[in-house]
Amino acid sequence: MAAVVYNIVLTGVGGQGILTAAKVLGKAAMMAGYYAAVGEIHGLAQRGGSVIGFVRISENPVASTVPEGTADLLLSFEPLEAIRYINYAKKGTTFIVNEAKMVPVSANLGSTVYPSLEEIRKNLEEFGPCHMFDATALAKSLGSTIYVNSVMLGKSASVLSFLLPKEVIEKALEEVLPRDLENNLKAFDLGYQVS
Amino acid sequence: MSFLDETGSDLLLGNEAIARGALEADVACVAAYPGTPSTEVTETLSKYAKETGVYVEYSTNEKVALEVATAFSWSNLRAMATMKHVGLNVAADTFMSLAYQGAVAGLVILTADDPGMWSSQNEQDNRIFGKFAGVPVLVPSDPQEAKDFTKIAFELSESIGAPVLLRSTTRVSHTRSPVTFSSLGENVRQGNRRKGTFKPDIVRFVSLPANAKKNHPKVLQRLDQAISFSRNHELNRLEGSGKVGVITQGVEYLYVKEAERDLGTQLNILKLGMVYPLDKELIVEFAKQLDVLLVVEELEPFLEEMIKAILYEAGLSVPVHGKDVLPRVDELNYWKVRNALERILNLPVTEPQIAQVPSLPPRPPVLCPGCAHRNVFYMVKKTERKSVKPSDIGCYTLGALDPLKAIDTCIAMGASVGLGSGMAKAQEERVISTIGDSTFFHTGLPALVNAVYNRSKLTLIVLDNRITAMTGHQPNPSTGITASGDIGAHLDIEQVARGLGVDYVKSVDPYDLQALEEAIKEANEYTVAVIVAKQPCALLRQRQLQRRGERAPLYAVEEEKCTGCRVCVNLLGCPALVFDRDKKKVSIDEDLCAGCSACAQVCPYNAIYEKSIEGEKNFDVVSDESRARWQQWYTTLF
Repeated sequence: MAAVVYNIVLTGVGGQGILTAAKVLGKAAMMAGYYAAVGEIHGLAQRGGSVIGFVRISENPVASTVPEGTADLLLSFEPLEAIRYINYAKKGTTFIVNEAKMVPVSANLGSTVYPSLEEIRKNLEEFGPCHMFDATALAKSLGSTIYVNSVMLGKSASVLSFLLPKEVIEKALEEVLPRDLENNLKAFDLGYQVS
Repeated sequence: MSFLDETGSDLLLGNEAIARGALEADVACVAAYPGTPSTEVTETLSKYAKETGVYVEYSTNEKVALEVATAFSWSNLRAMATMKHVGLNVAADTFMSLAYQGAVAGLVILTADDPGMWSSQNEQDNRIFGKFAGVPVLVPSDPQEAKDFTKIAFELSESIGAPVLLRSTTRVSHTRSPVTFSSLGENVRQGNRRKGTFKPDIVRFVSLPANAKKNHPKVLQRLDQAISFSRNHELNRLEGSGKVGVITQGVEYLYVKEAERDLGTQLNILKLGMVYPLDKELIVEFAKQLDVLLVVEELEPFLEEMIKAILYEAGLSVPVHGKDVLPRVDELNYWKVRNALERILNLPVTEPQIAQVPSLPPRPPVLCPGCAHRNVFYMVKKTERKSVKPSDIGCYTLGALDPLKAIDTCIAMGASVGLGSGMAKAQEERVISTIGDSTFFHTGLPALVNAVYNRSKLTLIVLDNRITAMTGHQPNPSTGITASGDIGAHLDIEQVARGLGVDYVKSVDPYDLQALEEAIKEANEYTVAVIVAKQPCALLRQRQLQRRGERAPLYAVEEEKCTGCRVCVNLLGCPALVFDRDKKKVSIDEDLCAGCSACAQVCPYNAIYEKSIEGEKNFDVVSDESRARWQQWYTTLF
């Protein structure tokens, strides 16, 4: 492992399956022989609101919260939410961002403006490489937005291959989402193949 | 890997680990009122109730849960009550006296505290509650310890005869990390539901003043015994060496270890597993080696103050730092702890390189699409602009936010009714309160009795979605299903209100805005009024429909008719309504729409129609057919 601790931040909108994805990555890390700490926030904070989860992969027990300014990988299920948690990024953070917008009620009410995808991309690229693609469209090609998290996991597998083999993440996915596995694995592959 | 395996290890949530620990301890009963961040303990156990023979119940509130668990302990069966930190306030009356009377079989009370208030109204530090009551307090650092300490808590409780407070926090309860299993308790393994036996002991169990006087000294004796127990079980652990000492506990310990590693320094650490009572001898011996001591703990200077007193008594003058270099509010984290260590080590204080977050459209949690609470709040605001509007704890507290803004107060469970009852007297005006079904049964009931008795001009709208939604859909008396999935009684809130002598009681379907409006207006003619707004939790209903291969009707906007007035968006703020700035039209996100039809009902241009009827657009949305469908959703959800 390159660093002592590898820090992953997952962000998005409550209901997108962010905590499930975090659990899959944590399981995969454990299966690969590492210590994994997955940080979740439940309850009121979830209802359609902005959500953040953490996965830390290390040799020794660590707390589950990623310290600000130390994320190695930021996985955002929604473009705006990548910027909202930019305080976790550092020079060299890799970004995987689903570019399908979910406009918050505040922007619909007209009190605020949703930034353009180009602005968002520019902002992220100041820190590190940014993979932006429409994970929602890929999920819908399999019939439902429910597969967004598997698509995002697939793409992250391509970035994490130095740490966690693709097969291990697939195995973890199998354990966490045994129902509807076939479509989830298809979604995973679609994400994995995104260039 | 299965949760009931005898050996192995798995990635467990802290709360799942506590559940596992209880099973390894051969627990016989777990009673709870759900509350984040404690909920998953009982949620997990409820799944295995049948297989393990453990009696699992959702009680109506935390006080009742503690009493149910106590009954098992006093019947010589191990028991646990789980709750969030503020739940212990509700249970406090029983808890404080229970400390005198003690436990027979192991009795563990889990308090899941919420530093940082991720989903709570305060961040009270319940370690203080343990000291207040005279009850030992154990604090785990991670899921593995959460499991191990749960088991040890039962042994401690049983060996000294005291209830034991197991204090977790959000960062332990909601962290998932590897946990190694030990074998399950004998009865749990066999799925054996045992029968308890209560042996009467009037001096002990009947708290008449004369008896209580005899029991108080026992509280102190048990605390002394807890110290010996902690030594035998190595609950408190020494690590490292040197002149710089750190006393810590909980998740804070992991922040200390990470900072120690990154600073390349060697610390002398005393990691406490039992934070009350404190082992004075251990603290004194530890402090004797030191030039400086830092106490790292979240929230209150609980350990710091006791440690300072212990060292003063022992005549030691080692400087003790704590809340002078660490904040007393909010969670701690790596940077806060690292900077505190740098200060006491006289190292340059590292300024973390943290990027500034630009100003963005906020995304607070919102009521789900199709949530009937939205309709109620819209109507409350429309009809009762001038009334004071107390509300309560639940998803519906979100009714305080833009654009609904139909809530004036939220203090604590059930307070909407008590406050409403008082506001009606203080303001000499009618008050309109809102409360959920679970909260109504939790602590709303006695307050409603109060309003009826004292003749307060109060309209109480019970948002009856038949589930405890915010914490993740636990059943309650309105659901009619028990924690273990058996059929319980379905308590009909309308009947309950009638039984209490409420002057006006009406059930309405909140999807029918006109019916809702009429009921609210009619209620104003009576002194105490209860309106039961019956519509199941939309999130749960959508899931159930999906499972059955059905879906709710979809609504859509007729673009030519939409003037872009945004009345629907501004009144309801439903996440499924999307306003296109360029086209100046509203559209409905089909992935989000849950078919409640509220937008169609408020549209001044009748531009929103039901899409599901093939070949035709149904602009007449509140048809008899719709009413029948909504009624069916309420009655057949479970």
